[in-house]
Amino acid sequence: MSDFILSVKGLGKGFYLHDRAKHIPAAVGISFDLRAGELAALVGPSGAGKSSLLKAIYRSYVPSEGVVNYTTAAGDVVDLAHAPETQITALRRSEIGFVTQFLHCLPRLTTLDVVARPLLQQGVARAEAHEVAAEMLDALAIPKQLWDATPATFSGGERQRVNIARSFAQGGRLMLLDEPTASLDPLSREKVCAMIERAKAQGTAMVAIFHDMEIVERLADQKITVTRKAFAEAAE
Amino acid sequence: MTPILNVEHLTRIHGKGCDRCLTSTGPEHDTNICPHCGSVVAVADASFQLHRGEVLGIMGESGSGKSSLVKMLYFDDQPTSGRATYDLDGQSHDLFSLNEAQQRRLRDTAMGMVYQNPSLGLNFDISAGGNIAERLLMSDELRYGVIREKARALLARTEVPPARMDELPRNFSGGMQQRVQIARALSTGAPLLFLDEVTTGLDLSVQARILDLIMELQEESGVSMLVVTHDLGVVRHLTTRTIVMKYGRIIESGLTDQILEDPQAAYTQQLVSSAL
Repeated sequence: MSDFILSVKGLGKGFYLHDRAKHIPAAVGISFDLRAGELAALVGPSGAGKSSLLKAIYRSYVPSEGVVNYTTAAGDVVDLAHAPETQITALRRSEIGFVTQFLHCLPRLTTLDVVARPLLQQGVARAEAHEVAAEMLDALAIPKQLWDATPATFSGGERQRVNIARSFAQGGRLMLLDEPTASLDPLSREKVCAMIERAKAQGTAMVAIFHDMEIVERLADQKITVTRKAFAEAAE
Repeated sequence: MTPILNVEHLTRIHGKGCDRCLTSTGPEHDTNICPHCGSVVAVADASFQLHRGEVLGIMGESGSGKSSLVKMLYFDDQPTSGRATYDLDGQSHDLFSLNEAQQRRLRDTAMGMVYQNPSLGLNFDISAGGNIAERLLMSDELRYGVIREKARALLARTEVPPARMDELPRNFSGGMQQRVQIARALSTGAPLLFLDEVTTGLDLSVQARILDLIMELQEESGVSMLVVTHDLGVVRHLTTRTIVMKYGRIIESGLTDQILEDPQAAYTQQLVSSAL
């Protein structure tokens, strides 16, 4: 059995736009291994393809090349780049999380329910799910008066923190973070960093993109540099 | 794990058909009308699986064949060829080899349908409660008190005020008619539900509430759903996997977020990028 939670080999992602008959060159294949409790930061200039690669690991994007071997809680090795959709769906529900800056709100749910929802979907009892949700909202300093309001009415920064609370309430063995601290005030940023450190300490493996290099230095166990293939090279 | 629904090579041709219908139509020919015999190819060689507890979207523009596909599975129409099996409590039903009575029975007890047009799914000449009672009667529930209580509970769950239970649905708003339809479709506890453009034509705020309601009900019951829509928002909101159709063909299928964020087929790219 592999002691890696994630083993990425030569993962690259490009696009083909049919209406322009145009190839958008791939981010150059990246390779790295990640153990429990480790965080790999994807670094590189804007437009290099960091987000594309993160989405390719989650399979929101179809990987163009490479292998993404994930070791499940049951000890099976699954290549996320090629696994059947039903298996990806099951892993997303229970083991693999994705955190963006953006929250798709359901207009009828309260903040507490939004955060508790993934746990309820996993079959966790309501009281327990709400307890975890409350703990997360508290840790991210969302005022208690807002917990029974719907986040649709919140500010951008509050929504972002609700989204992070939800992702960390769900937890998982592998979390993919796409700029979770972007556009947060310094105090909130510190709270999110503390939450990431706590999850790492509990054994969650993470692949993350941070805008802020100070945060990379503080949280990352390894840095993976992402560069884009030159247009000429990609056209071959 | 066996899928709840397994559809293989389902085809529906309107018209007399010829042996060149399938090879002369489709996205690469930019038509679904056979140039040789004039038949309309509504669905061609569609194969897919719906898994237990899954919400699968079928997306495509008007005339792509998505509703035709679901109509056949709900026995509103007969296929020209192809096969579909429905796995119910471990027993496999070969849908198109059943006789009419068996099909009606399966549809009344083990399938639910919510149409875009409530007048197709509801009987406008009887009360809202009566519409639910009718379906319960067809599935052999004959005790008046039980039927009345079930209808009341279902309408309450779908947020139709119980005080209006004895009114005719024709007097209801569009959103409320849809909620009665949903209550009716759910009344027998069928494990398979078809939704055909259920929010089309409703106000945005009403749409959002109907979608949330459907999602809550799906999570409570674990019902498997086939959701036909041309609305990317509905697909994003409700489904985990999506099939894209054009000219009767399935041209792409995948995880819903992948279909919306990284569509592979030319047509899907166009569809997604033309969304507001």
